[in-house]
Amino acid sequence: MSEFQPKIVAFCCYYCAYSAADLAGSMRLQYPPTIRMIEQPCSGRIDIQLILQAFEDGADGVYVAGCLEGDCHFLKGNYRAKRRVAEAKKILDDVGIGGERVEMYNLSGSMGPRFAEVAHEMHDRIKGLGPSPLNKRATKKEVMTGDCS
Amino acid sequence: MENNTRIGVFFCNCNGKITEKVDYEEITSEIKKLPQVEYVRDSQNLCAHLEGELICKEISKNQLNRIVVIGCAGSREEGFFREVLVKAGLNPHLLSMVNLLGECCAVHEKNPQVKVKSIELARMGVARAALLEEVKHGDVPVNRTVLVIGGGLAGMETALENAARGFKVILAEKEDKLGGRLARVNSIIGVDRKPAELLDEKVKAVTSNPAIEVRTNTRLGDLDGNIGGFTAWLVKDGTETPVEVGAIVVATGVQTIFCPVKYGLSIADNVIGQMKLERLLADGKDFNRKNISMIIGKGTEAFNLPFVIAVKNALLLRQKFNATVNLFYTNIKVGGDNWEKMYTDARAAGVNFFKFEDNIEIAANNGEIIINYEDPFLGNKVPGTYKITSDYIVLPEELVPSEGTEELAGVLRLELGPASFLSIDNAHILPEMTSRDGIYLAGSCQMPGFVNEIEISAKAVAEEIFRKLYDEKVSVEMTQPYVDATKCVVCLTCYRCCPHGAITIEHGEQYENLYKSAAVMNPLACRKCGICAAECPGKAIQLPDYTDSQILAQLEAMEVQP
Ligand SMILES: Cc1cc2nc3c(=O)[nH]c(=O)nc-3n(C[C@H](O)[C@H](O)[C@H](O)COP(=O)(O)OP(=O)(O)OC[C@H]3O[C@@H](n4cnc5c(N)ncnc54)[C@H](O)[C@@H]3O)c2cc1C
Ligand code: SF4
Ligand code: SF4
Repeated sequence: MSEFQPKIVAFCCYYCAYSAADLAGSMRLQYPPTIRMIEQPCSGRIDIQLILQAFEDGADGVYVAGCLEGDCHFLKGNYRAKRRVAEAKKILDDVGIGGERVEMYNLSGSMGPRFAEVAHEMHDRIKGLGPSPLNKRATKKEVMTGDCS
Repeated sequence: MENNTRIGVFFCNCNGKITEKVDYEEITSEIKKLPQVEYVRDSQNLCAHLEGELICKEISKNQLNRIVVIGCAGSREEGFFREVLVKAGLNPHLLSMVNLLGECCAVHEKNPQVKVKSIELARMGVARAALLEEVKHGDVPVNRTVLVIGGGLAGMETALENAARGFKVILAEKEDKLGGRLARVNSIIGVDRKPAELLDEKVKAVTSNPAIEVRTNTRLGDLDGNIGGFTAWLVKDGTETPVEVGAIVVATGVQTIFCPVKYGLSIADNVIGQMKLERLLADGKDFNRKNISMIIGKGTEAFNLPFVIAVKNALLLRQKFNATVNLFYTNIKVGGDNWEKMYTDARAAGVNFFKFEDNIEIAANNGEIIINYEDPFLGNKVPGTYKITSDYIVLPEELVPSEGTEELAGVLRLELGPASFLSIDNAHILPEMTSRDGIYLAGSCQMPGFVNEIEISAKAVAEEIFRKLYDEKVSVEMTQPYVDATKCVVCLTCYRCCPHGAITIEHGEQYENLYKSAAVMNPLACRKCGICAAECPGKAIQLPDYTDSQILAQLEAMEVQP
């Protein structure tokens, strides 16, 4: 099999990150094609179950992207998202998948370049970590887990 | 899932911008394999007018009931396709847009990975489409009475503006008469009339208007419900009476606190605040040829009001009484209509402006005010402390929210903003809106402001209320989340976490659970953030267009073997 290409799910808030992604598109900024975006009305819509389910469905990494702190379109949705991501990290650590595979980012709708930067950052991080233990696409050899198989 | 789901997929080349990176044939051959996809077609430019008619025809011909558009996902395009669906007799929410252009073609080079991604994105869009649900419109009966809290200028203006738009108004004032702060002010910048005259006129207009009911000595005790259907308990002399209202306007203004201690002084006849000066001027006190010093600074710089009042009164004292006026300032902020002119006029009229940074000492001795200060400008040439003797010292008051604002915010379920004033929701949308629809702010209660702003803000509030409550019944798209009562345990989590106070707990036999109750989201107040859906521990809440099953289906569809 060729080089490991991670699969990363990005839950993006419509009012900021998704607009930033759109802007990145208009600006033709390049980022790795490993990112799959799912648009949401607010980063506060994302609960832990959805984050964990993404891993069950074979994602190697997940990030939630919401508005800048204090700038949430719905006042505090991004703070809730931040707390949930922190909680998801703990769970992933506990089950041996690793909390580093999930992250929270904050950006505004005008931060197209930052969106591309975040995509690169997350891609590099997950690539460094290797496939998720739940990733069935990766060959046995690539899966680095000892006790989770 | 319905058995007769028939999905139509429309693929847009976007004039070749999409197909230069991905292959239409490859995507559609994958898509066609999916069970419910009945129809697939591509187009050079799908958002062209004629294409819309074509889509319409294909929808009826193939009896399609879910539409996937693969192309871009601009809001203009989305609106266009939703309209097409409506024309074809479908609910506009049965549309799933896949942003292949923005998420894939524009940001990646052509390579095998991009091919995989494009197929996945298309599959995700189809998976979501299969689970889309209709969103209907509903008629909601609303109450067209407006409660205005606070009978200052802002409260009275808002009452009049709402009455002019056909609303009934209840105006609740905590004091025994209307008027507010302006009743104690001597002059209004840029307005030739006396405040007392202006207020008299407003009070007459309000009290003689049959649509406005004035309740003095009255406060808001408690509040229930939501926009269109609030129950407000008004407290007068210790008794509470409920009134049914559709919207609430808060116009509780500011209060001034005189605090000479901050300047090392204590209250005396010649140590006064700007508010007191206004009062003395209005009462006709003679300041002929007196020497008067004023200060602006020491933490009162947060708002424009103190600067403008000081310059206004300095100019007035100079012109009317030929007084010597010394204005000590750390900063002068005169950003507003004609204020800059007022400032230059004051300089031209001979008001002395002295800048200080931190070093100022004021002492009141035997009816004399002695000010020692260091001037950062003159100090370069003639170093040392300067001494000025005055008859009066006028200090700026602290401007704080009206007494009881915190309790009021609690009752209204609003958060307090900077300096504990009532907080606006999003300054970019409408500065009079709060985080709760149906509750608005007018006048100085959100930030100490000016008379000329009040008229604008009263009109804006009245227009917004009219826009929302335009008739006895208003038609709304029911995009608010819905609750599966069998899963709701009435834990109040959603009620507490909704940032817009849009949730109430309702009781009745129709709620099939132990408690015969469930959370209900108000379609007029809900802003569709989905926070409640994420927080509900029972997973009882679903947000239309973003249901759990739709998101999970998208995640599941991601998995594709290259
Ligand atoms: C010294 C001074 C000089 C000024 N000079 C000028 C000027 O030259 N030009 C200019 O444009 N502006 C001036 N202003 C500002 C002007 O006075 C205000 O903009 C205006 O009065 C604000 O009106 P309002 O209705 O928002 O608030 P207010 O006039 O403060 O009225 C609020 C009303 O609400 C009532 N209330 C408060 N809490 C409650 C409650 N919980 N329940 C029921 N009722 C409540 C109060 O009793 C009051 O009647 C000056 C202000 C000050 C302090
Ligand atoms: S959070 Fe869920 S279970 Fe709790 S009251 Fe709301 S709907 Fe019911
Ligand atoms: S979707 Fe948001 S605004 Fe609507 S009821 Fe839920 S938490 Fe409140």
